[in-house]
Amino acid sequence: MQLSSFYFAIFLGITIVLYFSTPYRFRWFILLVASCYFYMSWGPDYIFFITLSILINFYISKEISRDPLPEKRKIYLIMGLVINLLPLVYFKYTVFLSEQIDNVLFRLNFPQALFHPNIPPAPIGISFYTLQVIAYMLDIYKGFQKSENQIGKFALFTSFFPLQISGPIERAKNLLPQFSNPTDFNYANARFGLKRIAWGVFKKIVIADRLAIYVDQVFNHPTDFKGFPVLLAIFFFAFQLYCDFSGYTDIVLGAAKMLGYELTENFNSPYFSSSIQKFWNSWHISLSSWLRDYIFFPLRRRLLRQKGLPEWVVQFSPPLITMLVCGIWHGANWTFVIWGCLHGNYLAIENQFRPRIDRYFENFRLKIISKMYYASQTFMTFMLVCFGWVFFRANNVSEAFLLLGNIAQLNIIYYASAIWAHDANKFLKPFIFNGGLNQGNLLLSILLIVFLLNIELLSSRVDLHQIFDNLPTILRWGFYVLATFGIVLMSVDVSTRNFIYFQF
Amino acid sequence: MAKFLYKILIFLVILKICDTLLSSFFFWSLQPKIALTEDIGSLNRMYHGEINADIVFFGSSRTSLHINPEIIQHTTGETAWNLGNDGSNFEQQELTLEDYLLYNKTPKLVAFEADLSSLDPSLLRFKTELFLPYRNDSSNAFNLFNSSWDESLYYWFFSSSVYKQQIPEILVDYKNIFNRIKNGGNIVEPLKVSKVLTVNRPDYVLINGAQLKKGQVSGQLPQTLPFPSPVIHFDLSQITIRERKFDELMQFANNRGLILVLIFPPYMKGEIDEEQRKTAIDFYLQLSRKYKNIYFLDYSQDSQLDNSLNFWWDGNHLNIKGANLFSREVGQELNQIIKSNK
Repeated sequence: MQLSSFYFAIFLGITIVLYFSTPYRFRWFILLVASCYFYMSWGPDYIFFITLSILINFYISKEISRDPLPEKRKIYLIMGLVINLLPLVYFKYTVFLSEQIDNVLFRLNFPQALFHPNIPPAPIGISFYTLQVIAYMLDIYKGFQKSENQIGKFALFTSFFPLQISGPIERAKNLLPQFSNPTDFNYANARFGLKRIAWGVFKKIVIADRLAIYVDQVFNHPTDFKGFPVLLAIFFFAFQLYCDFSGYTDIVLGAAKMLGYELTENFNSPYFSSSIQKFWNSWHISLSSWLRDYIFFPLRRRLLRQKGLPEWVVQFSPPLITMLVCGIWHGANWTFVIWGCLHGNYLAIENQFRPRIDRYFENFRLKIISKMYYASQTFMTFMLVCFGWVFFRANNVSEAFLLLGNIAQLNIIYYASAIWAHDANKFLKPFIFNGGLNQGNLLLSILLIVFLLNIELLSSRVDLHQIFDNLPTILRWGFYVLATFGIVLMSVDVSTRNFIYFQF
Repeated sequence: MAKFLYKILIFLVILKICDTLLSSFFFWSLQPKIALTEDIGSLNRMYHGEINADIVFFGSSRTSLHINPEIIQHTTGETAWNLGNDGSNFEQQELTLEDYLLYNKTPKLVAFEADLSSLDPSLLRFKTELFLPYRNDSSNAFNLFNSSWDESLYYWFFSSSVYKQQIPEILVDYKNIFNRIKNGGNIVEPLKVSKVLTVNRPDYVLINGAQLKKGQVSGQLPQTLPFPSPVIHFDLSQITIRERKFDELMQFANNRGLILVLIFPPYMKGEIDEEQRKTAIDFYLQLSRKYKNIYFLDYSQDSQLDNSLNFWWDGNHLNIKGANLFSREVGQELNQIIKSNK
């Protein structure tokens, strides 16, 4: 059941009506049934897997919470971590690991591949709920969180349908209390949720899916494209990924809001960030905060406590290792490893040099210089992020390098002659190709990106919802109708493309 | 919550009313455009029973641009007509055949385009305006867009979305809309009752329905393709569903006593994926063996055509030289088939 499909809209409508028509104490049960149905709509095969996982995790977390002996609690925690990480490694990394072992053996003159693992597809959202449950266990172990007594609510925490596919990775302290204290139906929440869902669907099926047409052609045929078309594909991918994932998050948060639940925000205008650190504070926030709280800080604390370590090890290792884990979490491919390492290096270098440069420019007397510095840093950050996205999207490392190499062949004379002749068709010709976007859709894509950025900029300064709610009813309803038809008629196609983060 | 549900219901009613209005407007705006440009009057001739040819070709641009009916007529000694249509897909071709048989005498031989694009269901919604002539009287045409219950509901609610790919054309075609309004909404009468349109567009060469674009006639490949186009990949994941569609067509042809020839048109070397090509050829060969009077002609790797740039307009369309050569080859094969069936 695609979140941007009509099917999901009907499912959500029925769930909301049933949820608010049920007495408070049984409402969590309605959500659990809806979550099971939603999970099984992707294929019923894994319902037993997730049920077993819930039972084991519930038992282990209870034991961690109950046992007074720290050593025993630690053993339970390690058991819990292993039990949760093993399926993740099995489903996501076995094929990749076996390929690497085969490569090594081949170099050692073993003629044939030794491993041919036949791994079934991974259960939906395994990467996300594994991190959610690990955080829950670690919080219980550290005493930040009490274990949930009711298995049904714990099951719901693990499988809450809006979060099932790609998060956000919720913390128990935020979500579990909400299951025990359901709210009444709130008209304002429902209206806000609906608007947010509509905005998310717009980002997904109007912007992301349109950009995907161009991006897929270039990244899947890297030998065929050179110069500016490649650059455009990289920029388009940056916005495709953002609109795809933030669109998904908007739908999820909107759906939860309609049910009266507040979930973690996952994005905060990331492409307006003026540093990589700020970028990670506003991109996939639930993952980056998880990595920060459960890998970066503990690792840094441990390294700081170790005496005799060189300063550069203490400074460079935590961001590098954290981002390496982030890369590997995204998928079993060297491209993600490189992408993670790149961001780790960005962060490590930035932490070293950036504060001094920032201080210098912030104290500048001429405000225009400070503003220009901020703008240049935002641009620079965006370019560095885009460079990373090449590895994130490319099918393999050699294709990523091929694409990066192809950028150099800019063919400037061709474009200059087109500009000189005021020939727009000639200028756009390299960007129009079989299976790509036509001229109108190409220009529309660029306009949509500009529109998106303007809305984000505007919403960071004024409360658009408030302004909108103060409009006369007829205007608001007129806008709703126009927006609905805008989405329907400008969409690329109905529920054809999966969300990108679905694969992770 | 009752208040919220009540408002949602009112909103849905408003949406449906707006959708009906929009849908009618799109249909009203697009229909004359289709009648004027898409087939250069061929469909109108067909609906008035004025074609009555012995050999009729159905297909996309790779039929309309590749087949010269005059050459086919000359080679086979039978009258020929090209009902190929730019952007047309298998379903639309099938609907055209059904309607053709209603209004014209049954041809001796029907040639259907059967290539990779015919097996790709994602192309079903490419150029949806081609279904417009059938929309009035064929429930089948509309059902093509509904593969599941939620999709059916979606298209019932947003029937205007069927036209979404043509919205730019409607916007650009303001002159046509303006003229229609000026003439009380009737610049071109509905297709089935209209007189035969004879449209002499300067950029087309018309030969028995064949639509040879002028650019194609004089086009030189290197001028039209300064940048190489990538290999075209098709979605063949639903090939079994397509098999059912082809089966239906073959049974229909068998019941009507038609000789059905499936033609895989030529592609420039490297234009389509080799593995996909082989899959499609196997698929069509197996199908053609299932029924009597069904033939499959494979020109996907025509050695005369695929190596020479002189014959191509772009990677998957022949120029006039190529089209004439290809028509001769097809004509000779059809001649053999007709003789063997006499």
